[in-house]
Amino acid sequence: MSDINLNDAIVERLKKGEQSVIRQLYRLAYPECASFIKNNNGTGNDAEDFFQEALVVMYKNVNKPAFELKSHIKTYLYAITRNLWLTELRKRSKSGLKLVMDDKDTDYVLYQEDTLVEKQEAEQKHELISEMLLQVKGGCKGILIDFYYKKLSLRDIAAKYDFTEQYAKKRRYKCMEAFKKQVRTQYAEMQ
Amino acid sequence: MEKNYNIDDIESFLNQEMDAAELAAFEKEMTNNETLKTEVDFHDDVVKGIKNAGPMAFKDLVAGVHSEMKGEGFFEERVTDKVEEQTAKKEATVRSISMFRKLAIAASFALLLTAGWFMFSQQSTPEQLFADNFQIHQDVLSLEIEDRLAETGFGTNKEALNNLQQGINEYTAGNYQQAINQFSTFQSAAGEDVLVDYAHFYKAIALIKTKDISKAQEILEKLAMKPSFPLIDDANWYLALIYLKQDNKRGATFILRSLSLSDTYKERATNLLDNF
Repeated sequence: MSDINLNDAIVERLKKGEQSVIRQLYRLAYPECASFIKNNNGTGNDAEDFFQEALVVMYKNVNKPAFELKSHIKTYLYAITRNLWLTELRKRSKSGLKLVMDDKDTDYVLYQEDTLVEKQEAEQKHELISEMLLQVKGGCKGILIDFYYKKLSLRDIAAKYDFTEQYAKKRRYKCMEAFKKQVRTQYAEMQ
Repeated sequence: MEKNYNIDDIESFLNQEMDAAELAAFEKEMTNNETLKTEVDFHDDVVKGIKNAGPMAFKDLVAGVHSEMKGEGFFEERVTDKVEEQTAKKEATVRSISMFRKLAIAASFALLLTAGWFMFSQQSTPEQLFADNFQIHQDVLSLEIEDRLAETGFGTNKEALNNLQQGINEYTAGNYQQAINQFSTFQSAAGEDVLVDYAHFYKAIALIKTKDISKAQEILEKLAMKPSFPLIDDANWYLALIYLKQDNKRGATFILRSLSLSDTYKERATNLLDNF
C-alpha cells in the first residue's frame, strides 16, 4: 500500500474513532516520539502523556473540513508531538536547556501551529454539556456527535447506521430534543 | 403574526443560513420574544457542548487504549528505546567489520542474523493483528429496541426488551460479564424475538472481551451463516479475527476474501489480507 493510500486509510479510520487505528498509531509513531521527548528533558510519563495529547490534536485536525495531510502520517504525528513538547518546555522555562534536534527529515511542514498550541479547555458550561452527552446511553450520542461535530450529512449518517435518510433526519431531531430536555433537567437540579 | 420556530430555524439562524428577509423577521421576533432568545442561546450552548464532546470522547478512547497497551507492556523501556538500540547495534556491527577483517565472514553472518531478526520482529504476529483490528462493535441495538418498544406499545415483551437494553448499556459501559448475563436473560425470555440474533451477536463480542473465545466462535459461526441477520458481515468480520487470533490463517483468509467484496469491510479486509 502506498503512503498516500495508507494515510487516507488511517485518516478515515481515525475520523470514525476506531480503537484499532489508535493502537496502530502507537506502534507506528510512539517509539520515535518518545525518544524525542526523553532526549529533551522529558520522562517516560511525559512521553506517554504528550503522545496521548498529540493523538487528540490529530483527531481534531483530521475532522476539520479543510484538513489535508501533506506528509506521511507518522511524520505528521511526530511533528505534533514535537511541537506540543517544545511548547511545554517553554512553559516549564528550564534555563540552560539544550535541545537534541535529531530530525533528519525537515520536509514536514509544521502547519496549523495555532491548533497545536490551542487551549483544550472549553468554557465550563460547554464542558458540562459535553460530559452530560458522554453519559447518554444508546445511539443518540453517536448521532449527535456525527451530525454536529463531524458534520456528517444526514445521508452519511443514514449510511453509517443503516437508516433511510428520512429516518436519520427524524432521529437526529428526536435525539437533539431529548438531549436538550436532559440538559434542562440537569440545569434545574443544579439550581 | 407570530411564527413558531423550530430547531431547523434556530440552526439556520446560528449557522447564518437565513436570507435577508428571514433574518430580519427572526431578529425582530427575538427582540420581542424573550423565550425565543433564551432558546436560541440555549441551543447554541448545547451545540457547542456537543462539538466539544467529540474530542472528549476520543480522549477517553485513547486513554482506554493506552491503558490496555500499558497492561500489555508496550511502554516498557525495551520497546520505547528500540530506535536507539537499533542504531547502536548497526554502529557496533559496522565498527566490528572495519577493525577485524579476519572476522568479516562471521560479522556478515551476524549482520544477516540481526537483519533477519529485525525483519522478523517487525512482522505482525496473529495476536498483534487481532489486537490492531479488534474493536467492540458500536451500539446499533438501542435504536432497534426503542423502535420495537414503540411498535409493541409496551406490550408483553417490554420486560425482555428492557433486559436487552440493560445488556447493551452494560456492554457500552465496558461491563462485559454483566452484559453477557443480561443478554442471556433476554434470550431465555424472548424466545423467537427478531432481536435475539442481535443479542447473540453482542454477547459474542462481550465473550471475546472476557476471553471466552470458543463460546464467541460458536455463536459467530452460526450468525455468519444466517443471511437474514442484518449484521452478517460484521459477524463474519469478528469470526475472521477469531480465526486470526487462533492462527487459523486459512479460515481467516476464506472469510476476508469474501468480505473484501462488501462495502463496509472491503478496506479493512484487504488491509488485513495484505498483512498475512
